[in-house]
Amino acid sequence: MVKTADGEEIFVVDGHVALWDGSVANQKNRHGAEFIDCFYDYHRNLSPKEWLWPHDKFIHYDEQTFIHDVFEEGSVDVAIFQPVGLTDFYKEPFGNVAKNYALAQKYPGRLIGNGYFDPRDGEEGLERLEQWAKDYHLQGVKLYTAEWHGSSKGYRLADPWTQRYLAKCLQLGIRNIHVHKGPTIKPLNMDAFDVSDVDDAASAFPELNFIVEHVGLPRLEQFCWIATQDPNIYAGLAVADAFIYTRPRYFAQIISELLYWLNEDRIVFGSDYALWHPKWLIDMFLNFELPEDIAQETGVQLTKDIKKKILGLNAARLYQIDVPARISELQHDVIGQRVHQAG
Amino acid sequence: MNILDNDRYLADIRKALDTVYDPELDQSISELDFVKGISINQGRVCVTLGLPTYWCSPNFAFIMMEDIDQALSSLPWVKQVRVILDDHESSTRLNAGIAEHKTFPEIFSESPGDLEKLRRTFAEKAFYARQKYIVDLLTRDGLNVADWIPGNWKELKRHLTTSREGQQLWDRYYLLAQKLGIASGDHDPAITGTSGKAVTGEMWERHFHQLRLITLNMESNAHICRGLLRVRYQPEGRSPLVSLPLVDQS
Repeated sequence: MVKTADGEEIFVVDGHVALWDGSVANQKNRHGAEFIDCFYDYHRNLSPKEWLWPHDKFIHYDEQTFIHDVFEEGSVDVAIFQPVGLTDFYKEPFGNVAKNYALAQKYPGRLIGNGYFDPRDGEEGLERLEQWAKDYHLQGVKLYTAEWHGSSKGYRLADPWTQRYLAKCLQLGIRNIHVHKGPTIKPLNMDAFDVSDVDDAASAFPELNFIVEHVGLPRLEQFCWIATQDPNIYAGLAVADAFIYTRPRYFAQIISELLYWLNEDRIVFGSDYALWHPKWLIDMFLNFELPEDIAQETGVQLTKDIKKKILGLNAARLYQIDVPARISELQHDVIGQRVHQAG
Repeated sequence: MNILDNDRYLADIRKALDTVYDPELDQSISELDFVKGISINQGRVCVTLGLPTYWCSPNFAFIMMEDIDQALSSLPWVKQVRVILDDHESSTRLNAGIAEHKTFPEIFSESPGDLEKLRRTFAEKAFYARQKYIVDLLTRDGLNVADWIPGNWKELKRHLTTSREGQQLWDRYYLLAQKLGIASGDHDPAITGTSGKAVTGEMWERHFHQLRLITLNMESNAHICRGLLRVRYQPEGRSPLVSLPLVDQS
């Protein structure tokens, strides 16, 4: 829970966290080194100085660090893992579904571990998805449409095999499809960030929720247009919210466009930890006010109630969290007690 | 050839490089500081590029490299051009492909899609962004743009060419209109879609909203790219390294 200036406590869901292993020991090839180094450049580029990590800590941090940063220092109540395997670059998966699940078991109610799939894995992948859904109680998946796979350098949500996987998700009760449409990975397709395929999938599967991570930032305008067409498309704020420090005016413009084109119920906060620490992001977001001219131009407001939705209530709805019940549960868990003792 | 010639040649190259744009950000590669090095030796020019990440889209990298190759090849004294992309996932293939004047699909046969269509898409976005900056300037100057649109090119020129900033905006907008085949005679409408269709009063609100979004997207991307480039190639404030032969061999 975080406290607003007027003393109200707000429930926070961090919709995008990771416990990755980008260590040298786990790197398969140069791509593995370049991938985590690119993440590190994002971290260095947009973090306030006092939140910068050394490179060796950044490439592989431990569970204690994660728990401390996200829940104790960061005041997050519930966090959602959005793993990506990247097994062409790393020996063990970069984001590890089994490890995430094990950590979630240690801290009941605190962590939601999403899975992932790759439609190019065909029948075998469908079976694995089914197994994972059963073993890890998946409620969501993270998809990297630009991920390499042998000679293929990406896929689209409209592909027939992807449609089969989405139908499988629906059947297995996996309702939240997080689609990475954002910078930092290795696009080789002509326009890997093109978001129009989300439109096709969202229309074909109205019962599923499509959370477009990083608000499709290289194609923000395209994202806003398609999001107006489909009520089951959501904006995942990770990366865009990090602008709040280096370019608060851009952040104000982005958030006001999202409020204008989507609405306050379809925007979900995410820190992208460990790219950025949730503590400074949440604090700055809570204290953030839209500049008068931008509010006037778009005709939207960023009130405390809207902030509460973005910071927690919207994600809680997607993941069927009973907020008052969860709050009282978490007050008494081991993290809640530590936070309470620290005062 | 002597040192003074080299200065002149270098100035030619810099001027040519100023005309090469990052298609996604609509800024010149010089402005963006993507040029890491320039070397000249007896009419042979080599330009080295460094991009913000190892993973930057190869299609955009290709477009910039091809444009550099063309811009430099058109200089009368240039005999040979080499364009080298450093530290990139596709460096080897791109460098070899550009040297052999291959097309993008020849280099990346596995990549589907149409590069010319991509070029057009991004030229259209750039046209809208340039239009937005013009509308902003006109508004600052007290013109009620909603009443004035679509205007015509003669009026636009008269409004803009009174200041240096306005002149630059006009040049950039006009150049792109020509490239996209949008009619830009004195009496043709000045504020149009990319098909050349005039934007009228009832279309204005939505049209302007889209201009705003396109510009915001471009500026946000540019902010990320500039920052990534800065941290990737520290120390800060570097300028392109110029390596000239110490002894003139001609």
